[in-house]
Amino acid sequence: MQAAEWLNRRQGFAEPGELRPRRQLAHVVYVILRDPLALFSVIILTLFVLIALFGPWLAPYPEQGYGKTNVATRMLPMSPEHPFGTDRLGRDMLSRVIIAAQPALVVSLVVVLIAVLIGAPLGAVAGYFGGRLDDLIMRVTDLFLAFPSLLLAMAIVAALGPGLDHAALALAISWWPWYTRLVRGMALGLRQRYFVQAAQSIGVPARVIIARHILPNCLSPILVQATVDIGTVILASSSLAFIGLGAQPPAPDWGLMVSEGRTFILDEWWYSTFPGLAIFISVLAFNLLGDTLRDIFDPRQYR
Amino acid sequence: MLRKLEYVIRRLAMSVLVLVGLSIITFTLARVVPSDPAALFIGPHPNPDDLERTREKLGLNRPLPAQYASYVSEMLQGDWGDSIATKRPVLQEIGDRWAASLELLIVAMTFAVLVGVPLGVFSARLQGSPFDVGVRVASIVGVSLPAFWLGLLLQIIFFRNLHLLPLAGRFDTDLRFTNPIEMLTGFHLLDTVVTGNWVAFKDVAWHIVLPALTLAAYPIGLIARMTRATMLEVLAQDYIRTARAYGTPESFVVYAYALKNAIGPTLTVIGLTLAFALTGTFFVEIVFNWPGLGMLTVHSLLNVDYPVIMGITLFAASGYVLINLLVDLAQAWIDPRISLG
Repeated sequence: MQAAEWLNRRQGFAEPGELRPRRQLAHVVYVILRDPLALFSVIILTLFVLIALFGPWLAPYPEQGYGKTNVATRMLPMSPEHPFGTDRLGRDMLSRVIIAAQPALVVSLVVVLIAVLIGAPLGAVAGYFGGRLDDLIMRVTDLFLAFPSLLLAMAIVAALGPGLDHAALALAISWWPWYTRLVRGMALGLRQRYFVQAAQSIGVPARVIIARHILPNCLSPILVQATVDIGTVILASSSLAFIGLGAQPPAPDWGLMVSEGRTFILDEWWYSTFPGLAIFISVLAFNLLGDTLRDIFDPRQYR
Repeated sequence: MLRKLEYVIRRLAMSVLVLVGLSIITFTLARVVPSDPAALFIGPHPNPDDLERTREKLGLNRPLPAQYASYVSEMLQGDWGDSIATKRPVLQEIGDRWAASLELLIVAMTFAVLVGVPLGVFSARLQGSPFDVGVRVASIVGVSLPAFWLGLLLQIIFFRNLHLLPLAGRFDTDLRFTNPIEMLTGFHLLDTVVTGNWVAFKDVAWHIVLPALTLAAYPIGLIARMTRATMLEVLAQDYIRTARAYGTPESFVVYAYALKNAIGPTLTVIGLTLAFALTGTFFVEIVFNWPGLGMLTVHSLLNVDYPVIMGITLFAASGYVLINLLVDLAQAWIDPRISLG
């Protein structure tokens, strides 16, 4: 953390979490370049995003990736034509894995975005106003947190019926309380600060204070949490697909592919291995990046 | 002492409130969200009479608060509905399987604590060393591995390639004829020891290794990481500096003073990971054909066996509340400062 201390001294007053935006970005880039693990995660994530964007052009057999079957090439082992082998319906596994990157990323981004959009304002309102409203919001939040997230999501999907859209909705419903708790904690501290009290004293309405002063100042911790959560949600949605609650065949989904290949692991071991590897690598990259960002923004967490 | 008692009572009351909240959520999922709950509770192709009777039984024509009241009283009286697939009471289905899940969970968590806590402590002591970096990477890898995929990988390596460990199941099916396991508690490891059935014990123990390892990966990562953070926090305290200034041997400072004060927070983390592992069990069970609640869940999902799914949800969530309660109480018992809060 020498870099953070050095920047602090130069600025004379700010804590790392409060560097002005441009300095903050420079600082983040500096720390990531210095840490090989963080650099590795950024490279992997860049590749992931590129594959998600250009999957149909990168995949050797894009139409097979989307589900077109080819009986002549069933269950082929790894070869130059099919580096990841083929599945029980003759589809090229490499293409399947590549095409599945986009839905995985999109679903995860949407889920986390919804969770933030619901959770953060609720948390800001609870922390800023305090009192009865705070009690009410936090009791509801605690209630949702009393369920393990994935279990709650499973129960919700079971009630709504399986499918990727229902799985995404269920995950968003189980994820927002974490943001409410996070932002409320921040808001409790922020409302004591001079700039908030100054705004109050000149009669700025509460909703403007929350929108202009409270929420923007919670952005860094939300971003850190969201980075980790995008990975966690990829894991969770593929877990739901694995037990048949998420994406349905023939949709390309990593969890679904692992589940399909499960019956064949003793002979066609590559079938489950590569889609699972894709889940693992992408979740790992988000977790590594989140870990680095947390070190930067939360100096109390000892490295 | 009185303060402690007061804390325990307050904490118990809080758990009851959470349970009430849980019942509201499961009630909503079971009876309010589905468009026709009766159809879900009776299974596919119902005849109109049955459907009407189920509607009557569930009280779907009455106002929601009344429905909720009767839902709660049914649950409290142990009437959790009947499984559509087997026609047996849901509680019986759960009763037959929870021990298998809990045994797996306990073995995995014991392993995770025995590995994770020392890793965290050494990592904190050797802060910045290659060992510390290694633990950081390993713990992030641990929390990033999909349990269902790790299980398959271990099966490929240890069964298919090395022929070292059994593929799946709780014990070898031959055991049923040669050394049948007497069911006393449902915990096979315990039952075989109590009855002195060592052949079966060895077989059961071999079968639990891979699922327990798979399930332990996530908790090990989380426990190691949090133990390390807690230790570093404690090691930065003034009394540690004082102890060092007095020339107390470093190993004594770390293992006697710091570790003792890091136990409380570590216990919280262990409780938290236990809760995560609870859902992890479901996926590990599916991969290893482990006849616990996870397998029951998946079969119920495939058969759209709605009463069982909702029963398991309520059961697992209550278990989660219970774990949190026990962790908090244990912490109050260990750390006298807690009861002041």
